[in-house]
Amino acid sequence: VKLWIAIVISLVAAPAARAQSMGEDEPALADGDPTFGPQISIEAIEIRGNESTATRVIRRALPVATGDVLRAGDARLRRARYQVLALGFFRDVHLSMRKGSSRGRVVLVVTVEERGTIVLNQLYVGSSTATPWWAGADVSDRNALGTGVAFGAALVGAGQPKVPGAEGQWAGQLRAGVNGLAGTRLAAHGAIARIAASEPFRIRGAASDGDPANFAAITYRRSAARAALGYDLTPLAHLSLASRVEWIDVAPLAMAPQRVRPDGTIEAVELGLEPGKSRLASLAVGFDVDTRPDPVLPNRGSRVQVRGELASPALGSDYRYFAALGRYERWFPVAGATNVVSVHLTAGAIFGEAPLFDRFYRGDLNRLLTPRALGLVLTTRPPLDLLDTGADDHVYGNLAGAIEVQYARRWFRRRAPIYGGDWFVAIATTGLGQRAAVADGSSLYRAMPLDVAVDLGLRLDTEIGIFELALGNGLGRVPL
Amino acid sequence: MPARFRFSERKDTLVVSARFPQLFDEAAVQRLSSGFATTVLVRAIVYEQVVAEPQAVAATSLRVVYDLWDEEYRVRIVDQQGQRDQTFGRRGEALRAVTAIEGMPLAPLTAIEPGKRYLCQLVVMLNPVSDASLAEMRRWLTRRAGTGPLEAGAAVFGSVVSFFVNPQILAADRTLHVQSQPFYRPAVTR
Repeated sequence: VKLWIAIVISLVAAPAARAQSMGEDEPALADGDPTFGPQISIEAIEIRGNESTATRVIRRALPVATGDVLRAGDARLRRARYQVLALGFFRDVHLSMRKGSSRGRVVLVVTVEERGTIVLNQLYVGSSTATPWWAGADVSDRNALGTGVAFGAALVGAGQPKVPGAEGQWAGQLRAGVNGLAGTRLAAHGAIARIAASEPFRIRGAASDGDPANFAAITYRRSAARAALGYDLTPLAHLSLASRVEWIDVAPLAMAPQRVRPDGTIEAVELGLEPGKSRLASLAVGFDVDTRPDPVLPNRGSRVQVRGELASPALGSDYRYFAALGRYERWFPVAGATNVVSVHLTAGAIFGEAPLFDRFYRGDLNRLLTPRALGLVLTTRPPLDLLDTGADDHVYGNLAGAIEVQYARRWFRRRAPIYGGDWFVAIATTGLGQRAAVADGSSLYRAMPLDVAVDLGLRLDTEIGIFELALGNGLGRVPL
Repeated sequence: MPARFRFSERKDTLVVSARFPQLFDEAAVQRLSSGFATTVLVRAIVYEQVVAEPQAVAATSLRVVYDLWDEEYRVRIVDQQGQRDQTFGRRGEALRAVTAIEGMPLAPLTAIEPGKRYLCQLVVMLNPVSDASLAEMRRWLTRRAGTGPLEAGAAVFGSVVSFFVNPQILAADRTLHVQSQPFYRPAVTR
């Protein structure tokens, strides 16, 4: 009771800060009162309406179990519906209660309304000056055979690039995962992948000239397997451990990779791929804290992601490097909850010699460029280099950073099928460069020339997922 | 149309009374007898009418649960004054108890200047879900099936544009915004 009173008093004490949105200190008021209501003992739990989902999967998701003794006002009963709904297997979930065999005993009845669980995670469609077409999809079943285990598959194919010597590319991935392993906070994921890449690298021409004729291609095959374990430290904090093994087969190049600069100077191109067959083995750890109440269209909260990956001969790897990535994001409501400003800070560094496909790539940083699709590079288009810093000369790097500020304005919120829409405009400064340049005495600014990108569009939250209709998304899919 | 609120002074505090029966539809009324607790969270915000700046915020929670065995409705009200428990034999009585605030402390009188005109807005939520719970539930839905956060090339630098099973989980079953008629404290003349 004292806690509740303190919460109420704290709300009164800070009126301006609490006025515009649901207070961050109100969870105790909102979620339940473990001292309220009659004491009940759960005699049995009946699950109804599940034709394809195994009963044990639903039982595991419930925060209560047969034999639990609690008050009717306990937050666990309030959360039970949402936790079953959050499995993503059901259109709706209803809970009811009836008298049990003796006084104080109750039977909890959970009635579910099933829905299809095969979902489209990603579509890969586009065309660029270098690649005439690419197409593919990432599909998964979140509840395969009603077991609660998710299976996913992704496949993308790309036509033969116009880069001399390049071949058609394709990549495929199969994966499986289960969250809440055996009713615990553990999650397990695994994946296998095969990638046939023919990756362009510049051999001549100015950095601003994206003509595929200025590029050569290195062709390689990757066969990869990955296994990961995750653990929810708290409901909002997640720790992961992962291991990856890849077998790489690089086709021989006709000549050593080198680039002829417009001024006639010749320099070697370092691709970081061992000739012939090689193996990459790594261990990675990741940490994620996400306090956004709505990860789709957030209007407050923050997210921190940290990830480190080590590849070493001690693990059986032919490659030796350590990659560190960090990201901090925060969302602020301004002038009411309908206007949101967010700041996104990203930084990464790779120590050692990472293969080309594990380095930071310009297209993954810059919203206006084509990102890699399942590891395939699909364009030779350089960035605009609006600041004329020479940013277009860096396609891969082992130092990367980005600062993005985004303003989003709520357009509407309503019930299904389209829950809401936000307009947004984003401006980002990105930097990509080489650690070696810093070691040679260059300033960080010179080693990581900055670039600027502006993006705007509409983000829709719908019953079947998120759609982002943005300028950057469009530009990355058309030949320019 | 502003709702009719009653304002009064109790010791050094401004208090308000109001009703919001429209919060419950038929289904919500039926659920009062389900054995599960129903929560109504009332947040009151006092604005100065001209400036529209919040002067004070107060919160009250009203809970009701049906005791299946004793066949009675138990109501608990928690506000700045503390906690009060009541018991009702009929659903209608319990419904009235959780769709009204009676003498809810709003602000110390020192925060309400005599002569100025103020408004009070109530934000009334039926079965609200805290931000933390919402975050936890929606996060599961947006995780791509079969992937972890360490997937190579995933999320950290990329933008998230994807489809997924996405049932709507609202911050509350229902939310009402009710605004009072303008009010003021008369200036004291001696």
